[in-house]
Amino acid sequence: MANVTLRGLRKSFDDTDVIKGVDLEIEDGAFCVLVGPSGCGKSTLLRMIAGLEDITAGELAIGGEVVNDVAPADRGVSMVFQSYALYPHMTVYENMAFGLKLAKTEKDTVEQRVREVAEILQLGDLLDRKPKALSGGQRQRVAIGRAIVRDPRVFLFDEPLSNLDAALRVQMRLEISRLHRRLGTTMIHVTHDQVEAMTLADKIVVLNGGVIEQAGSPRELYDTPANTFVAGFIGSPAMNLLPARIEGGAVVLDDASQPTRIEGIGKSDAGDGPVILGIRPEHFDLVEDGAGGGIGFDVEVVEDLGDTCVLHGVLAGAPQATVRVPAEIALPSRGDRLTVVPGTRRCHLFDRDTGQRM
Amino acid sequence: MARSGTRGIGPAIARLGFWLLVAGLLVILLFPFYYAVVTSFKSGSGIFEVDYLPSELSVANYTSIFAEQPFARNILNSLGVSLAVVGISLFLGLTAALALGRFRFKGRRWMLLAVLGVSMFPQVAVLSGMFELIRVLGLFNSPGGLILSYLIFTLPFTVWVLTSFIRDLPVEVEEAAIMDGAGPWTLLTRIFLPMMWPAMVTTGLLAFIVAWNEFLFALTFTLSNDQRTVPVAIALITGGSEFEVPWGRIMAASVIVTVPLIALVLVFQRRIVSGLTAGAVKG
Repeated sequence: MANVTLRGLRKSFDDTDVIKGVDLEIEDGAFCVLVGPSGCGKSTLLRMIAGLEDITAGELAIGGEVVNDVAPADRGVSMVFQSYALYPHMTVYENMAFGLKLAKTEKDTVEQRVREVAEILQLGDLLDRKPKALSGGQRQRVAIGRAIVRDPRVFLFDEPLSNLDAALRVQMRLEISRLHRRLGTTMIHVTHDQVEAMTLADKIVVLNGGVIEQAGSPRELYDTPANTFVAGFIGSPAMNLLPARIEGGAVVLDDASQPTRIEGIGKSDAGDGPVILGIRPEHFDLVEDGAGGGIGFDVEVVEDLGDTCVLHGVLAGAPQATVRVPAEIALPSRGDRLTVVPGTRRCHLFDRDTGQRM
Repeated sequence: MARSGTRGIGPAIARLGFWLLVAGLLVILLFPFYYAVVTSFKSGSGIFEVDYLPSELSVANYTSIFAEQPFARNILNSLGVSLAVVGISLFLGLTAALALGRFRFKGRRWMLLAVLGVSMFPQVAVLSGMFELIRVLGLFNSPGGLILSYLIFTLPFTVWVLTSFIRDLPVEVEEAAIMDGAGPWTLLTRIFLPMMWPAMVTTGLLAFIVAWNEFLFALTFTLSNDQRTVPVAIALITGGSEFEVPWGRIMAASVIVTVPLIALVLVFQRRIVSGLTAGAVKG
């Protein structure tokens, strides 16, 4: 077990900078999730920690020891790949034992370790099978088993759940979470799925364009996103980000064809000027028509999820917006006009130019 | 009734035609070999009588090729040369394929094209140059000269097939092995080799057939009877006088050298098919 420290980590392929200076401290035993859109550098960052990519500049320390030039196998890390990457010509047992054998571990110890791990992952009956005779979920577990057997200081997961179907994904997510609690080892998990990130992580690191946009607990990221990127990325459906301006202590939507004055948002005393107003779909309240402070919302698409209902439509005549309402109410249909009130204490204001939280 | 009748007859005719075609092809392909077998068991002037069924079973032709000339020695030569060619081709091909298929370096594409380009020259075009080379290296009239010259046919396709095969192997498996602590040699022998088994069998067998059957170089680069390989030895079997072509012995020798090839192909036929297509389609 070990903490992982990244100091000014950079990576360039030829002339392209992929990772542009990343500083990050992952505490011992933490479950850290790197999340971001495709091409944000999250997998590259993970592969740098694994040792599969060279580090162009900066310092990587595992357990306080700088490992920039240490071979992958000697870093005390093990990795679960997206495609599982099982050795197709070896049985489940041989797959798991391969690393230990290469490390010249005694035969009895290998046997004992593999059986132990197989027990944890319920692979006991499959040890003599080849990977092609396993289902997707079983292969996934073998890949995880192969990583556990080596008793690493840090686990790396590279989008391990993306090849599974939805039901299995939820189940494996739970298993990984349990495994983390049982082993207590530091885990770094890469995903593009923000739900996966929210459910698994102690600490989420949101990456975009090779830099960290924000790092923090899931709750921090949800409640106080540092900028419009994180605001739009965390949460489903995504937060509404509406161009607006501050006028005399209240927020007024741009492009609105109807009067909108939203009073009482924190920081709206910052002085007049353009801003971005962020409101999560679930933070709108439905009110009676004509109630004070209400904003008109024309429904265009209704997505009934059973527990809640997601409405896509036009807010105050101009900007596209999403509203999520409890499904207990009489469901609106296409073309209806509703009156909604944003929960002012849960609104976010961002600087129009920099996108940073105000 | 009439309609269902035509529906039954149409496909039946098509199937009959298909099997007739298959039968025709089989006759064209197999009859010469069959006739060679039948002929090889005849003796004396019986050879010149046309028999479609074996009429006699004399092994005189088989014994005489071993008794009157060093045919056993020729077979050993062929076997040694072919196996050496297969071994060297596979080793060089595999290591080259690993470099060409897995590492990015400058000129990789040109190197691949050059390898392919070598195989485009007709044998006659390289014959004199090859002769000089072999003479300079002191390999004339020795198996070494043949092995060296056969590599110019076998290496291009070995390298190409293995390169395209290795390129289609998933990179993540290799990376998983690196994470497990495998060095380059372990990677090659414990991860790549087992996964490449079908491609190795295919290319190895094709290389063997090429080397086993080659005639022109074998004729040019050997001089003495006991250095010759089988195809040359067969061509140079002579009869009692210059007016007699010893068909019986030629046929017996041909059968002896063809049977091992047929056996090899039959044993490995599944592997060959999977190896030939393996490079083309992923999975």
